[in-house]
Amino acid sequence: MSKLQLLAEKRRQQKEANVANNERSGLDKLLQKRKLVAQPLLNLETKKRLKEPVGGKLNKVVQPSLSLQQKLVDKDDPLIELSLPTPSLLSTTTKRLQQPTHILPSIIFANNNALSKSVIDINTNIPTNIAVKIKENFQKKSPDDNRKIVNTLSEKIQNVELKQEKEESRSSSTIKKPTKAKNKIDLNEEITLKSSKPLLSAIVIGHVDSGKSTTIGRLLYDLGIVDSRSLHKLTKDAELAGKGSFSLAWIMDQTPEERSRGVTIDIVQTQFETSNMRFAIIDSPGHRDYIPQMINGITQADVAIVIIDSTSDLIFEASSAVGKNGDFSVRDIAKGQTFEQLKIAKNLGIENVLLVINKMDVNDWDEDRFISIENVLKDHLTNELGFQLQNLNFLPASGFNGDNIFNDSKLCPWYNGPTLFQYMEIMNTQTNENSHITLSNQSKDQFVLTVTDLTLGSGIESGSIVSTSKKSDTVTIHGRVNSGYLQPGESVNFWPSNESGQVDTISTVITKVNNSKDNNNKVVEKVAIPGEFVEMKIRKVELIDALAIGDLVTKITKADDDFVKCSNQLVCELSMFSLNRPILIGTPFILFKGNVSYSAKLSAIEWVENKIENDDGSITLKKTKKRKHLSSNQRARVIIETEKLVPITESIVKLNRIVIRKEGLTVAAGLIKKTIIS
Amino acid sequence: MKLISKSSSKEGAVVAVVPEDADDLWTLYNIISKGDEITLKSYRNIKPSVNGIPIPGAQAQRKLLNLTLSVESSTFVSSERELRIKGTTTVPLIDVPLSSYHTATVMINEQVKIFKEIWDSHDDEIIDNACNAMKAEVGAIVLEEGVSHTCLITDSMTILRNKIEKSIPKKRRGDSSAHDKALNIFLNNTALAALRNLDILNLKAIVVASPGKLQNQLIEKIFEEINKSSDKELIRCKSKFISATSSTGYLQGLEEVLKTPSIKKQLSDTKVQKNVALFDEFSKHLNNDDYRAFYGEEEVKKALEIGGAIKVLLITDTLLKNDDVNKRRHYIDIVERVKEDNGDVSIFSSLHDSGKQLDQLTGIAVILNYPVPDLEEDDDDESIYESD
Repeated sequence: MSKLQLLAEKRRQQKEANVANNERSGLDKLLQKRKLVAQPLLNLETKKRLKEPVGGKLNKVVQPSLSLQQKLVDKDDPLIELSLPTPSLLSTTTKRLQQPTHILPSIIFANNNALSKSVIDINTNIPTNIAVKIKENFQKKSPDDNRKIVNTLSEKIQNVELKQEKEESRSSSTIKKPTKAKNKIDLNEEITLKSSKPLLSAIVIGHVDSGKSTTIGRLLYDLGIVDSRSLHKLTKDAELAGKGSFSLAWIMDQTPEERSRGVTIDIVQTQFETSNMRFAIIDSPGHRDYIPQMINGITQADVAIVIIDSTSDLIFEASSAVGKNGDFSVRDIAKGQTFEQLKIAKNLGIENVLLVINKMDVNDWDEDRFISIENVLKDHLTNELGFQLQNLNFLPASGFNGDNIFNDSKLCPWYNGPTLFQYMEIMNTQTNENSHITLSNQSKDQFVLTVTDLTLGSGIESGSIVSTSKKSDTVTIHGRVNSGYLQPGESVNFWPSNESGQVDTISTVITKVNNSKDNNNKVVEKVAIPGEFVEMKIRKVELIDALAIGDLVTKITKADDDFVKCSNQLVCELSMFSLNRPILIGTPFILFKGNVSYSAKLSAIEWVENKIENDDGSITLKKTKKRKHLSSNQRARVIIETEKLVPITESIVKLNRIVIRKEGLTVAAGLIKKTIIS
Repeated sequence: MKLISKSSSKEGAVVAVVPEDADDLWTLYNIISKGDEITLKSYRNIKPSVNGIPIPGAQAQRKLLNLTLSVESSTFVSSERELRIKGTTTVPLIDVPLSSYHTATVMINEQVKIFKEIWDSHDDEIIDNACNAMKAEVGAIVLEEGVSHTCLITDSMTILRNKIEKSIPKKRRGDSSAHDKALNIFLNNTALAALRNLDILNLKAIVVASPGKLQNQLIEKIFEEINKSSDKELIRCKSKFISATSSTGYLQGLEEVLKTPSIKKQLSDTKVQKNVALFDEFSKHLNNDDYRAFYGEEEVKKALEIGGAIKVLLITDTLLKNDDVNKRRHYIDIVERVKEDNGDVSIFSSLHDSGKQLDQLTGIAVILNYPVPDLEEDDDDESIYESD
């Protein structure tokens, strides 16, 4: 209604202005009086019109008086005189409005001169309603003018409405305001509290069937996170399926496909806490077809635990194959996944590695075997992959029997070092040294989280018919906080979709050691801090379908700089691995960034750096610009074009690390340097 | 494609053909260039008129006419499988005055007559190939968890018919039901899309590829749907489905699949497959740096001058379809010289991925019979600096 009132108001002002213009010097006073009469009538008119739809109304405004006015136009002066009402008449105006108007024609069609004379005579006898009408008509402009006014007015009104609509839509979608946290908390206190129980995220990698899932299953069972009753049930199920030895692995492998094939397909993360530490352990698939999932896991981890099958000779074969000729990646397919996985891990920023020589029970805990494997690995990892020796640890174990996993093994007298779990504790302390100081330093950093999992709706009932048919504005996202802090009640933005929402709750799923009954209990958090794996319920998302796994989430702050840039043209510096086919301009490949993969292609090469060995043995680096392909072991700066937009935060290096794979082989790794925004 | 008639004289050549499918349209697209005259049936909106004066207010009528156009430009829309030719009429009709503009959509199974002033050997070859080739259309579905592509591969093009993307929640310890459910819906949708978008009865084979064993799950789903239809013809088609492994569910996985030996066998004799293998051989030589593979026009010319060096010339149809007569002449000369030299020539369709890649590499490349070092142009702008 406010718009309509506005319209009425404008119209009235316009009319008043018109009246004022029409006033002539001699008639000033009288006209003023007439206005007094006209005012209430006008109000009546406008009130009536308010009930009519806008479009029709504008036309009707002009219509009623048109016929009369048309006829009166020529007889300007006399009729104005004629219409002068006396004060007494004014008071009766409204009453007499009902009287017949049949005298009117005679007045109108009468001779001008005669009329002017008889004016005074008639004055008292003329039905006042006619007088009022005539007078009223002369207050108005000529019909043509009226039309003009209405036209210009309606134009103006249209503009007004449009602007308002625009403003409204802008305020709801593009202008995003930061919202305040629900509860006021002492950030420093929370950080101190949280850093007193530091979190370590470890990914378990290794060749297929080396025993990754089984080892983790054993660890969780020994820690009392999985109770004997559920393990008993799994054992029974596994035996029924003819896979008795898989019972521990089934703790981690849950989808029917994984169980029936006996292969882990996707990563799964479990969090648990001891009295003074928190751990997140990520199980990953070892099969080469599922390297993408493993890469996803590595981006969420601080350290890697590599499981190596001590009964297999793959490691020796793989390392000797590298020795013979540089054709590493080709042979690596046949020789196991271990080295490729470690290479990816190193390039994604993992330095600290624990190597578990598994299945030692099968070798009767043969120390020589252990040492020879250890030496091969040490050699390869330091020389070929560039790991630091002090960051590598070796451990003989049996995941299936639980030797050196949580409990010390009595079967292995020659090994006195820490068990798997003790190593994890050591790594936790190493990784989180000074964590409190770094954490509080980061308090000014922008909040960034990468979405690793996404459930539409409030969580539990996703996928069911009820929740999909009813469009909700709520999503539940999982992810690891890359930097900054976030509290419930604050608003976040999703990239690259540019959707926004408000954080409803933040929680973590963590199981206390020796507390198997309280499995998967959610802890509601007051704040999310860097490094934490959180589950967040986010409300007020306009288009939930626009969100996807791999989106970046940032907090909406007042200082709204372009912290995140979205582009599909990325300038990257790459180091090429051993290739069996060159990467040509236009060659399609898969780009892995964070936990997402993008279909991409090479669109330009800025320069390629070749190593040229001089005669005296020194190495010269030669940069070439006019190249259209990349070959093995080169370094290059290139432009990569992705199919979809990639959200980039230039300040967080870890999020800009990329790995490039083509046809199932890892062909390059590198860093996104900048984006090209077209 | 059916060849109806062909006659050539000093003034040029007239060829009448009947295109039978989208591939033939692509062939026509590559033959017809600016300035040619074509005669074909086409619909045109005509305003009724009396003695050339249009009747005001009368509704335009859609009439099927036999038009002769002087070609100005043509476009091929692979997704629609349509060839549109724009030009001006050269033969006046009662309803269509001389030199009026018309854009004709070439109709399948209707005769098209082409008049060209210059009719060269390359045109002959394309027409011959199109008329004699055994057509083999292959369907392909490439998928991974959360994304699937359904495509149709013909001799000269890869057409993406359907793409499905769905966020699938990850499995979680203790509960993977959300993941299972979402995956199930995703596979169902993909199966339905495949049945809807692929003409399974008329395809030679349908390749289903994914990392791991997801493709088998999809094939099961497709078979379930086929069984539901209880259409005997369709049920017989079950044997057409071929399961393959690719490293990714993106479209690039398709080329990877076409290279694998087991699929090679089953799809042998399709032109696509040959080209993919050839391009692979080319990149292999390039990677080994054995001076047997080169790209770029200058390099190709140099190789040509050696004589007998070129084993295969790889060239895209983009270069051969050139509105500039001289440029086209130039490339056809190269092709002919290679043939005279007993080299093979392989023309890549730019509607396939391999062709697109070759296009990016200047569009012309050679594989040599023996290594020829120093063929490569010296880089002018290279900079040498010492490492630190």
